[in-house]
Amino acid sequence: MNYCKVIIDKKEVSVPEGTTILQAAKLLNINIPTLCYHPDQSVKANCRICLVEIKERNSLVTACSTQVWEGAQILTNSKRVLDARKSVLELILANHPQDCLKCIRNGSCELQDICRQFNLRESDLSNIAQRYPLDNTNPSVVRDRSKCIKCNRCVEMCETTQGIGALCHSHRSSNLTVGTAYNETLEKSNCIYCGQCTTVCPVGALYEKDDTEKVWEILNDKDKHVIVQVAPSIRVSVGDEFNMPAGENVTGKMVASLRRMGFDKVFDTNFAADLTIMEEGNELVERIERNGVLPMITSCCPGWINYAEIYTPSILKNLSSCKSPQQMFGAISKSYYSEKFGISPEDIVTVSIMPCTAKKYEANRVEMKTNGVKEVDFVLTTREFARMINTANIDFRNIEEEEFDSPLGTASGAGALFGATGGVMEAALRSAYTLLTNKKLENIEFKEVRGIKGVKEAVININDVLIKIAAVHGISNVKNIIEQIENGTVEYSFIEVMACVGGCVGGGGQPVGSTLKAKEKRIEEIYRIDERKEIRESHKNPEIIKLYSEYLDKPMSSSSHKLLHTKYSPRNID
Amino acid sequence: MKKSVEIISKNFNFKNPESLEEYIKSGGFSALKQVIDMPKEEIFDVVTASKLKGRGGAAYPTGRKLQQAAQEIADSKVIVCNADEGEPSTFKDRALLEWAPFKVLEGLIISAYAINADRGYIYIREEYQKLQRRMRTAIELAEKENLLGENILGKGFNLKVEVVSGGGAYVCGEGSALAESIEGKSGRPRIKPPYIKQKGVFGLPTCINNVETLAIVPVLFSKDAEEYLSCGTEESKGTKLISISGNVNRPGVYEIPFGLTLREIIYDVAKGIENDKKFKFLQLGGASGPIASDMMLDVKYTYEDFKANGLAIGSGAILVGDESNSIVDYVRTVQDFFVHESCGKCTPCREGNRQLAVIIKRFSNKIAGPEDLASINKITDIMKSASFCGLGKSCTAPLISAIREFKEEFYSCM
Amino acid sequence: MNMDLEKDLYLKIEEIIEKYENNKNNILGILLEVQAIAPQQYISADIAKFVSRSLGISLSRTYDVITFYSALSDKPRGQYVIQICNSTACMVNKYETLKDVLEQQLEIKVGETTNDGVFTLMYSPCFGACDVSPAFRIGDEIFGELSKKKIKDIIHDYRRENLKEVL
Repeated sequence: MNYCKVIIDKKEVSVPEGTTILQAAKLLNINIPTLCYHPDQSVKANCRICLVEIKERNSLVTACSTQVWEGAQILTNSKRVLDARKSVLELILANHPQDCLKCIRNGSCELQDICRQFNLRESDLSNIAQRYPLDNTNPSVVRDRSKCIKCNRCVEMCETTQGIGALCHSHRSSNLTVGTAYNETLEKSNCIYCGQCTTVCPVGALYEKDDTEKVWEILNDKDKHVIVQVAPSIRVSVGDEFNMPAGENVTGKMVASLRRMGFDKVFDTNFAADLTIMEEGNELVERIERNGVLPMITSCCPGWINYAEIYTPSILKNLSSCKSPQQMFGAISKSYYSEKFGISPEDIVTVSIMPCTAKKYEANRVEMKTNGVKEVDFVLTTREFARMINTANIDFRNIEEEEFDSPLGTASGAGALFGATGGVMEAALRSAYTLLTNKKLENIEFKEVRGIKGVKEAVININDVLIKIAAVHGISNVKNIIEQIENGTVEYSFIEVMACVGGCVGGGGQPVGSTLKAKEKRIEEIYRIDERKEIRESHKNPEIIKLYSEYLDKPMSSSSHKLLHTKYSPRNID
Repeated sequence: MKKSVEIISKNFNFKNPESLEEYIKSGGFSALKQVIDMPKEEIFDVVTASKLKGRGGAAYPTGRKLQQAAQEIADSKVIVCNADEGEPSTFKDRALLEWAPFKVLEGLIISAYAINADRGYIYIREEYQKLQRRMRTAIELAEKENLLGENILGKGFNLKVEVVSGGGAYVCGEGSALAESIEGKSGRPRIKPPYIKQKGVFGLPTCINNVETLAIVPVLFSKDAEEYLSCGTEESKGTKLISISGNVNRPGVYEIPFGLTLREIIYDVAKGIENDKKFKFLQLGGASGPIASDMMLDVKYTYEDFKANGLAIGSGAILVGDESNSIVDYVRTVQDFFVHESCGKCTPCREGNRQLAVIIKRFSNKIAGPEDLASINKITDIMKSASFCGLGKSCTAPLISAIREFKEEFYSCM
Repeated sequence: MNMDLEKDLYLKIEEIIEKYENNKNNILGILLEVQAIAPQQYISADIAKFVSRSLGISLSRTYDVITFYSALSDKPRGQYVIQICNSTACMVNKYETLKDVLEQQLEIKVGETTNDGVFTLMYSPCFGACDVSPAFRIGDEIFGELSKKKIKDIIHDYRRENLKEVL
């Protein structure tokens, strides 16, 4: 490996050939400002913010896309560079609405950060920003074309990382548009609402549908009994929004904040995850023992369900009929919980805090009703949750920790795993093994399905039959496997699919700017939560055992089927 | 010095440009037959000695370009003829494709042989559909005579050439954008490195040359070479096809020896200004060329003289404007062109061109202010230094030169 | 829309795609030929979806190509698109006179389509007819060195051509 000696702002550093100026500067603690650059994506070099000066050539280049060479002398804050960057920024602002105060990204906008850093005071350029109508006809994602700065991060995410391509760039020159084909709504463009685009948008052009106002109103309604369930990933992610280290476990603070906000009961989706494992584990066993449709594919990810229904309806028969933990919780809240505590289902409002925008769509599905009412009434993403914590004047970092309520708040370590890619698989195997062999699983950790590789495989020996399983995350990684299923060459019996890279910790509702590194930290913490639990298998959760004995009878019973299982159907717009 | 010659344009008066027979009868393909037996080094030497530079506008030495292309090692290499000719007031390639398609083809085959390319694309702009058909016919006929395709002239050299249509996008004249277009995508330029000479069309090493450049290659290996090389100056050897248009009596494509003065070109070759009007300005090299006043009329048409005077040969376009034209309105026309043609990818070109159009409109409507001149300075500066590709970097040249040469006219609009 | 006509159109589109070897790299050439036979000379969403599916590419990519290249249109136009050059050479040769005559004869403004759907009038960047400027083109036919009468005759001829096609 060849090394180059580079001098940046008069400081020397030696880096391998192929290093960009941006990367080399970072090693010297010089943070060259960027806008279109994203550490988990390809270099785009279209915003031209990261300009630096090459001393010997008397020219400007973009730091993100220019590789260093031996003896390069680079200036990152000469007057020429500072003036040039300001000019670029002025050009961007001349075509950007100036209503920061009302924008959802006020305070968390990368363009604002750059304005602050560049200390731009005035501009001679006329603001000729065009305004376009909002695209907000779907329950999950809002698109505001007026704010787009054409960085193309969302296009790469949708087209390349997710392999969907609902968002694209089109037209030329000042008509350059980042949007949909024929300017249709996202709804009509076969978007799966995974919300990944909202996590990479540097400004307020793509964001989650905000339901916080509705939830405040309902919390204020004295006639309603408002309960909340919190997803597995929230407790290792929401701390990011309060400047806590990535992946820090803030479960206690999270619960305390929700109580402070006014929720009557704070429950844990991890409990419902255990319930999902009971049903899904038994379903898998049934399919294996009775020659049912295999491979069986998990169904807890609504982005994945949307994808399957729109793009590959041929594999709908392979999906588990289980509802997701969110919906199972909702169903139980409007039946078992309602009866147990004598509150009518119409008076119970179930809110869920999710790392996911597609969950909003899922909660709205017409079939997701129990006893005539919606199972889950409102879904709030991690970002909305953080906003509500702020609005409620809560000092999140210092609030004293509290515990979940009963009877829907106890969870095993298996239930906690759902937030990580490979987690559902591991949780399911722990119980499925015992169900099939009647033996206790000696080694309950399946390290082969952990980690951020796109497709992870493992083989488990059950009753001397070798069963192959896979865990996939990121939609573009699932296409290959679907092809195998369609032409009969697939070798797996059980497949976990998560639409988002990293699994739910990398969901579309998570804090913006979540890098791959941050996701890995969150995943690490999730596995630690599991390790610290006394009970690590879903079928040993006492609250789950009680639920079945008091109400559901047994997994896959007719009550379970009625409440906890669902159907899917093709829905291609064309 | 003879003012107008016919070496490159020798066949322009053929009765049937689509006749391979007629082309061969007049000496066509003798160059290829000679070259295919030559050692490659000699081919490069001949081209280099001719001082031939890229005739599309970049003026990169062709000999060096071919030599560099030959050095790339790959299983498959691509040669491209750039016949996009989107540069306004340029139509010389149109003439070549119309009257000398075989000459262009022969130059392409010779160049492909020199650099070891096995795939060729002739990218012809959509507006020249008739000429696309003509070139396809030429390719078919050449294939029949074993001058193209498998085992050309029995020498074991294979080259498959196809005609690809453009779609009406000036930016596709830029090398990497052209590659994107051939690959069936929108023509937005790529990040470099990698350069297209290493990773171009379909990721293969690609060498792109202008139509006129390729048409001259067979001349260098024919009996016309001596006459060609006797024209021009030491640095600017040979002849150039110019497209002269605007307010002149005889607009058209002419082949002139390098070294004529602009005055001679405009008044002798193109027979002067129409209706006896006064000369006011000219724009050289295409829409991104500088605008010059009558102070430049005695500059010689050579690369070295132009460089010394801040002018550009570019595509060989010469646009002449008489006194009836407003410079401000002319610059507005040029600006509208760039607003239309910018690919939109990078901030300086996309937003800068848009802002400049708004400001120039104010000048046109005579409501400009001093801050507008300051804005123009700022915007053109950032476009020149920070645009993603050559289009953004060079499109401000006409505006800057016009303000410099015709200051009073701009001030009168303020 | 007449169902037979539609089926006929899609058969022709399939033929074009086959001619280009079903290769998605040839999307530009394919779309240019499809547009030439499509009603109202544009690529509708339905046609775009059909072509995308046949080639195995996303609608987004096809839409990007359609909107990037000036020769392709995602909006309906007249049978004949008259494009007046408004670039440098035609500007100094006063293309406005051409525009005025055409607007008067067609009774529409630049950017509009005649009521009978026969002509759309547009501006275009330089198409290399500078030696006969000011010039306009209809498809690959270039018209330069014009007079009022010549323009009138051209419009008349195209109207007649259009009638022949319709009947």
